[in-house]
Amino acid sequence: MGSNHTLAFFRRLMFGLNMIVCSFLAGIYAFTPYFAVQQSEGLRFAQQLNALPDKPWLLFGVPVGLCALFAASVFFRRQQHCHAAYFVEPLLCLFVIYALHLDYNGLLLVAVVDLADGLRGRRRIMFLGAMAFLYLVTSMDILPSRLRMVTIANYFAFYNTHARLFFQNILGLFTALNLIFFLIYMVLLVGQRTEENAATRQLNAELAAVNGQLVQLNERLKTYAAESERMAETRERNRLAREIHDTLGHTLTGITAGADACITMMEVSPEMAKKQMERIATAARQGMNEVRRSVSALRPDALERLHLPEALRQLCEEMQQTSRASVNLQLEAHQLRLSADEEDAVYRIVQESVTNAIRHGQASEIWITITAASRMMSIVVQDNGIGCKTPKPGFGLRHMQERLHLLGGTLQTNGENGFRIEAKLPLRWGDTI
Amino acid sequence: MLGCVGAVSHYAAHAQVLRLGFVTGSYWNAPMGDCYTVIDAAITRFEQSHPGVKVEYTSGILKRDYSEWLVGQFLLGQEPDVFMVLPEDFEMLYGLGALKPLDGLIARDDTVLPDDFYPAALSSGVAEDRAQYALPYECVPTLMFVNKSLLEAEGISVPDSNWTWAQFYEICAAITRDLDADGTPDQFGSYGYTWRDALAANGGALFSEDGTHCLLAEPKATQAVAFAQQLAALYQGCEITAKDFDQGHVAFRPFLFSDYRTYQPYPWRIKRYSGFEWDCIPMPRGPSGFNSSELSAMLAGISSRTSQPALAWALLKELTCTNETQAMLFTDSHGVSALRRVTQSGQTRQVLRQDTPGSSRLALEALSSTMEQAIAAPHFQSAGQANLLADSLVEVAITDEQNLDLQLLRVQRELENFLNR
Repeated sequence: MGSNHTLAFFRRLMFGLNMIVCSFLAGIYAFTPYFAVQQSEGLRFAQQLNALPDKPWLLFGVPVGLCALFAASVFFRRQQHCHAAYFVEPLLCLFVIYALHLDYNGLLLVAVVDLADGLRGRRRIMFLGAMAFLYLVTSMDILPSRLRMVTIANYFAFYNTHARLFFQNILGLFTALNLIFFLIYMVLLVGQRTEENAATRQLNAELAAVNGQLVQLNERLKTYAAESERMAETRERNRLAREIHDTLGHTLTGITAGADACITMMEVSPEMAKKQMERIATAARQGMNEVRRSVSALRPDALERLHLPEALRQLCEEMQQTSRASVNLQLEAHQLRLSADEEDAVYRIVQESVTNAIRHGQASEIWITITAASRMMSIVVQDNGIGCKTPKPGFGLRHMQERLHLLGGTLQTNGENGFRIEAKLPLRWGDTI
Repeated sequence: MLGCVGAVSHYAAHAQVLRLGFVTGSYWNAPMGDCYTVIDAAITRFEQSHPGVKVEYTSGILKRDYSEWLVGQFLLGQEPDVFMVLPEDFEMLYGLGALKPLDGLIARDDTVLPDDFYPAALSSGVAEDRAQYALPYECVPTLMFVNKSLLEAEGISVPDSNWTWAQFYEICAAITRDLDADGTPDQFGSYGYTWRDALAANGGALFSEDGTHCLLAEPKATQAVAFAQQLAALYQGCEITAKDFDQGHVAFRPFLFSDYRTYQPYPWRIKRYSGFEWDCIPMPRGPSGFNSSELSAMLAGISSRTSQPALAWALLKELTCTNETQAMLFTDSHGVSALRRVTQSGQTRQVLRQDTPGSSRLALEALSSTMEQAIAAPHFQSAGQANLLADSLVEVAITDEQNLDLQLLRVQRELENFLNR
């Protein structure tokens, strides 16, 4: 913007200077005849002229009036862009130059400064060419005498040496200043254009770099998407595996334990064995349902029908009935407002822990304690089984860890005194995720 | 609306004013009574024939101020539509483009014929480009003043109108004498007769019409200069003055017709040249020419910038081409009309006869032939300076004792250098 202001400043400066030069010349044209007549030297003045000068008021009025028209045209074009200006302004310039007897053609430079900026490419070259041609033609010394014009030199010649030198110097100074301003303007204009071009090039380069980065990012995003898809598949596979383990494994454990008891009881009490067999059948059917549900809705059947506490109690009762272990549930947390995935996790952890205690620990007593405090749920399953000093995380334990991990919880095990599983689960209390 | 109409009609009324530039007094310095009589009468006639038109002029501008005044008016853009052109200003005004070409106007106007004018008078208004830019308003030919009393005393009769250089030289030689026997002549044949007078009478010219060549080394010119040199040799280097002439000691002197018209009639007649009888006859002719002399013509032209060319042309015609105005030159001025029909008319003869005393026998018939044979100086740029230079160079050549032809060749070369510089 600063550069534009400087350009506008020089444009105005040139404009003002040219108005002054034109008025100065017109003033000399108009004043000299009066001065000569007043000094009774009209004859001396006329004898060195090659033609009769126009009437003084015309000599002053016409160039000044045309200058005013030129100024009006420039002003109008600044307000409202108009293609006709490219013909009107040079034409007015020519009229002014003609009215000034070709003594001064610097006004053409003003027209160039005013108009060249608005043109591009071939048109600009044509315009500049035409203006250069006009400048050359109007600079030819032979034209004024051919056109029988009284030049400023004729007027100057009338005055004494001092005045003549003074006028000539003023005109020379103005002409030189006009050229200097023109050159400065052009240099500034070219500089500004070069800077703009450089800035544009830099912007383009930056854009290209960013574009390249975007392409790379896009590629990586595609890779991530593919990876994410694979992970989703894996997660889904794991989940299915978990579900199968949780439902079928649990049911089959119950059936196995029940069938063992049945074999033992068959001889002692066939009646008891029969009842046991019925329980085993019920457990098998439930397991069947679990499998079906797992495939369709993937939610514990009990949780589908019951609230978590009831589901847990039913689970413990069933386990106690299908095995010889005693399962004690101590539920200290109420109105937990757990979301479905949290309820699933709690149910499955309890189910898995009890199954493990019966299957691997051969426990006879199992204590389940569920508490909640400070937005943290704690699930502790303790049994009196054989325990395990270095528990190998099997499928079930790993699944528990994964479930808890998904919900931001932790799992700790201790196999020194029986087996103890302690799960910590942060509660969202119904917060929206 | 009414205001507009009023302004337009006011402007129209003002537009009907023609301005005239006019010299007060005689261009030829002849004393005059009322110098405005002719012009006022012409204006009155013009205004009567052009109702609604008013002609204005600035009075009191003397000949010596006229050029400055006219040029000043042009510079200020206030020049008159029709104006008198002094012969010496014609070139300059033409060069500035201040004069309107008249050829077209003359060609379109049936009442003006170029043949109406004496050729030399008309060609006074012809510029370098051979076009007519002014018309002659008043002419004054050069005649030869003859001291009849002196000739009679010497027993010599006054030459006729068709006399020659030989007769002229013979009379001069007979009259030039040392009366008081002091060793130098005190009675002379002629005074003021120059090589230019001889050149005009020998059909020669100093410059070509276009002003590009000098013709001084041509035979007609060398004859003329040789004759002037021969005549001057008669007076043995004596300085002849106007006083000698006024006192009646000189027989011949080139004399403007205007002076003749001034001093011949009463009352000026008793003021000068009262001690002897005198008359005027045409100039003596050279072997290759006629009894001709250079014609001096006051011209009138139209401004090239006039806004009313038709009216200006009508006024110019009133001044230069009408019998009434031109005839008044003989009654109220001292010049000769450039129109043949006016100068040759019976009325003019009668006027001239009434003005001249009985003894004077100026061949009035010879006036027309003098006008007919007169020569107009060519107009070209720098003609004035070229003439001045020629005068001084030829003067030196005449007094030089070397071969005159060679001297004139050298002068011709110098003048051509000047013309083509």
